[in-house]
Amino acid sequence: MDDTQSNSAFSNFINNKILPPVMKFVNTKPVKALQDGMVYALPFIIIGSVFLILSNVPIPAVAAAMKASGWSAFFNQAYTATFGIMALWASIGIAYVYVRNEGYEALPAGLTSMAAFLILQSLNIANPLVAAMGKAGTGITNAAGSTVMSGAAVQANIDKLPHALQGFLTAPVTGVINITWLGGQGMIAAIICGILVGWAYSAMIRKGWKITLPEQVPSSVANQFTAMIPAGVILIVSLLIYAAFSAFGNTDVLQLIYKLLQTPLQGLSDSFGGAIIIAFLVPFFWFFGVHGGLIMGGITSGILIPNTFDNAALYKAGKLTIGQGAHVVTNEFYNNFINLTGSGITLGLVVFTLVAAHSVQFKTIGKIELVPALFNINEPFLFGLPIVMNPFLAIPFFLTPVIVAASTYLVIRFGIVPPLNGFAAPWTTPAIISGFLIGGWKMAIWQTITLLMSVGIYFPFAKKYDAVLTKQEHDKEVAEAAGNAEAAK
Amino acid sequence: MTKKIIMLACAGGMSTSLLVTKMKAAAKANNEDYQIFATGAAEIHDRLTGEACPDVLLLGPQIRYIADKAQVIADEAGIPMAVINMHDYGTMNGVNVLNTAKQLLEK
Repeated sequence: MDDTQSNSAFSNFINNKILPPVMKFVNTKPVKALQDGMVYALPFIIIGSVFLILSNVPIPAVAAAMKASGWSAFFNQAYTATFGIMALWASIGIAYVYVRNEGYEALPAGLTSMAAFLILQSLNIANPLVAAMGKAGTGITNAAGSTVMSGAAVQANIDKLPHALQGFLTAPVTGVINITWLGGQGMIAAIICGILVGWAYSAMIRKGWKITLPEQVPSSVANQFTAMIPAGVILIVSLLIYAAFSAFGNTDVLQLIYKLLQTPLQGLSDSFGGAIIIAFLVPFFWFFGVHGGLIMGGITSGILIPNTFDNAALYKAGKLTIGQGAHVVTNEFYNNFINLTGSGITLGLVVFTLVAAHSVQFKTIGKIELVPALFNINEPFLFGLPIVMNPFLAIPFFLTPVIVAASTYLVIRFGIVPPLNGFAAPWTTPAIISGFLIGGWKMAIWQTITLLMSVGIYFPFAKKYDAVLTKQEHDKEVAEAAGNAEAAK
Repeated sequence: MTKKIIMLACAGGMSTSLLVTKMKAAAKANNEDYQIFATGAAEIHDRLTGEACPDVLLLGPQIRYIADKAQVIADEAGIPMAVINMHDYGTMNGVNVLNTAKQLLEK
């Protein structure tokens, strides 16, 4: 048949020309380290986001009671030390995985990366008075949020003070770690730091740059010295970078990376086009039988998790609206919309098997898929139905995530449902429950609507495919019966 | 004879764990005793270089793109490795996949 021929020519092209370079990229040491290293940050992000919700329960009466009892502040403390410093976890995890994959003792490398990440940033915080001063300053506000002294008035009062006192009041706060850079804003810098440290550390160990002690020294003692030279070199280089930025630019490398790299990347991922591309590429890879969710998740999480983080910070401050800078496309947009009920949002097929399937194949696989679908796993469909390389189901498989992503983007963008609140629901959280957690009851309803879209889009295609399968099964039965009759003769 | 260990790996070890249940049932029906478990691809290296190294490694077809790398690790560990047939994987055919593992073990 011409049709299948052109199909196979096209898929040959993809399999031989497009996939190998992509796979090569996905398999490079830095990408693998990023993908697997972020996994170490995830438990802290998920647990931390539970504390975030607890400290700001979306029911006003409960929230007020929590605040009055002092528990909000305690939950906030736990959030800050987990989700709040996620870039730190990432910098450790990525260097750790990189070096572990090279087959060396990896924890010293992870810790070296953490030290380098801290060396690279200014360990002080701008004095809050400075931000409040001047005509454009924020002024001083009271707990209720109304301004009690304008920026210009603050400035005028400070100017009346003796010079030494002025300097003292406006000097940066020192002796602290600025957790702004350990959270979302430092994420891309942490990823780069983790990869470079992992690479440099492994290279030095491989080259034999280590202190080798005589054999009589117990190995546990000797191991401590292995890390000394690579760690020392990396930390000295970090120090020099910090010194150069501080002396020549009066800034640090983290601020530069945030401005030049992270902000544009976050903007790109958080656009209508970005949402569509991500939604399209997941089924694209899956169609050729490789794990699109894993590949795209690995590449995008470094950007989408900071988006989640920004929304969490806004939620915490009670300012979670698009107007105040909330992102539409966060990591949960990816996990709990684009990949809901499995890559390709295949719930429509589950419903089809329940109410309308005739062929044995559809019914059997549907039965296997029923429970996994609740937890957003759909490998039985992908390989068993199959969806992989199956032209009958290609159109809805590509279309559903794109339409769901586009419409979800629009309803959040135009304020029909509120932005995602920064709660990091694990990707295996069942549909509707996850919607409620990541955005409240309106999001749960919207998630239900996206599932109905899936049903609507898959249904006609599934029906056609089911008819083909039924015919095949029938033909086979007839042929077998004929064969049996032949044999009986 | 010690129990043979069969290790399956997919992205996160989630969907392969479904298959493990089916394979265990298939083994039980034959009165055979294997230790079968599923894990994420990231753990292949640790498992194969650690204690209780499995006797055979099977990859889910969705991560066949790491097959070359996994093959190197498996060769170093001296154990056979294969990518699970897509159809067997999708239909969660425990009997067939167990047979694949057995064939690899006999080699």
